[in-house]
Amino acid sequence: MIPNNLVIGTGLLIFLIGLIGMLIRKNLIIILMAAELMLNGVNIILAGFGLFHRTASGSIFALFVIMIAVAEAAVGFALILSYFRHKETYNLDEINDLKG
Amino acid sequence: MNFSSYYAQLKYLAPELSLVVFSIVALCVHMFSKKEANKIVKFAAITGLIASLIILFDTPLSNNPLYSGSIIIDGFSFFFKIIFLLSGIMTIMLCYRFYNFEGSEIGEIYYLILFAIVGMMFTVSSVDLITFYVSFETFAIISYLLAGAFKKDLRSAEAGVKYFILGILSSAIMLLGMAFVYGLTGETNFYKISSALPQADLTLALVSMAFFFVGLFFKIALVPFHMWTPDVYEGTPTPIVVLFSTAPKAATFAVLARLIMTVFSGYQFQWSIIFTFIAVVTMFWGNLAALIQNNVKRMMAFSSIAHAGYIMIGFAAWGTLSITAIMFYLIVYLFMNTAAFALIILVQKKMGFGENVDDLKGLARRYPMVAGCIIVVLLSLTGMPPTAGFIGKYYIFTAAVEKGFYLLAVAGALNSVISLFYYFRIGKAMFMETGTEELSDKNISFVKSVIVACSIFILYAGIFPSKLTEFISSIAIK
Repeated sequence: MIPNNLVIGTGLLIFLIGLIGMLIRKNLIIILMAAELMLNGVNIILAGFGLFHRTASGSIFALFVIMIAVAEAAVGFALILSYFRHKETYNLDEINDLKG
Repeated sequence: MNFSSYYAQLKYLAPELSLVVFSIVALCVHMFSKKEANKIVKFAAITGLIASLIILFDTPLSNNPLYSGSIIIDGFSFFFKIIFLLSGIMTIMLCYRFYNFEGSEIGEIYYLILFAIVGMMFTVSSVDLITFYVSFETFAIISYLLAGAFKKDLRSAEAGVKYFILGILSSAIMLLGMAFVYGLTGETNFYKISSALPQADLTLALVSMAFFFVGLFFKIALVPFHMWTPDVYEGTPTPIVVLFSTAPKAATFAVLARLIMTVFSGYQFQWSIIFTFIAVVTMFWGNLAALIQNNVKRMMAFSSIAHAGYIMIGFAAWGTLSITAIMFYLIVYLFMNTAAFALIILVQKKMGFGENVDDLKGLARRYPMVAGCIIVVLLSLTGMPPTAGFIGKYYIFTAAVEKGFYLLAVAGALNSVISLFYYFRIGKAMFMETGTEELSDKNISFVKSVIVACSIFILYAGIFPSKLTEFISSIAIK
């Protein structure tokens, strides 16, 4: 039996890695990966809380989050590709045509 | 609960279901036919919205949660569904002119708008964390697509990417907050959480509340989560901005109201402080930044940030008076903002030219009736009588004074004065300056009718507000 604190701690760690990745990396694809990492970290936390409370809703919630994450990744790649066709770059710092 | 009662409860979801059917029909028509099908798709979309609006008025209301306590079809959600459907109808009417001068039409956006509205309708009805998250993300993800839908324009592609990255960041943080709320209580139903959360650790509950609010504040574009707004509004096709600046904001405000009534009802002292601070910062930031803009679309983006700040005053001074004020302000804001963006569509040219204040010069000579209606809209945006914008601000400030938030009401009134300067710039350019005479515009009848209808509503609700107020207070959540 894995202790609950370990499960939730692992989830938080993965979430934090994803958050830091989203904030400091400049490559759009890496940022998308970091976002997936954040969502998967929350999934582990949800499953851990479900284990703690002995209810199924935590795992069910995690299933729905997986579904949303897939939709998000699909939309994200489509948007990044449509931007790439205009300006051949993945660098976040070069996305600066809109300025006021 | 067995399956037969699930079928019996389907009648409560008739407006959403009819909208889903119409959007799937539009999707199939667009997928399996040639380019000329855009007309049919557009027709199916607008018919679906109108049909859904008619069905909505026939749908019974129930104050008990349906589907094992995950959805509630009460008067409060009914009111917001009217806002979404009206916003969708006006958006599609404005699309006609926009794609006419751009010269190419993206048929996908019509059914995407419908799907987004279905997501918003479920969001305002949801009283369960899982239902709420799925429906919230439904319209959020479609918003990213809609922002980047106009692929041939670099600005639209950039707006899509920016909105997407910031959107998924904020929604992931909100999800963490939801996971903590679930972890502290072991429940996903709002009402059950509401009774279980006060037993939890105070610090953890407040942390989860803060995380939860990040995602909502981002969608409403409150300072300091507003950075995406001007860029996204500038890059996105203008009719889509009409949808962005009204419907998702109204949906998120409704969710915020439901959350502070149920889940976080025990922490009124804490969230009242957060809302007060955010309301003041948002109003000042939005209005001061709008002063220096030359692009009308960016100016209206900051103006919409400022209006969200006014509405947050109502949330800070939460009570029966302020909930009526917020709902009144939101429906008036829908018409004011739609008319202002319709004006931009009227003067705009291909690929984002003609969006500056200077391009409005001499508009009063070209379209006298439109210019007259826009004056009503600008007065309403500033908050001057006899328009509905004045009544909305009056209700909000009264609610603040009643709860003892005098300084908040003073800050709001001060901001109305600041906003006068940049709204006046639009009026001045239209009436007092002469521009180039060009009358080659066709297909503006829909834009004109939207502007006229909005200004008539604003005047009517400004002169006779009692009927609307009575209706709102009869359906507001208690």
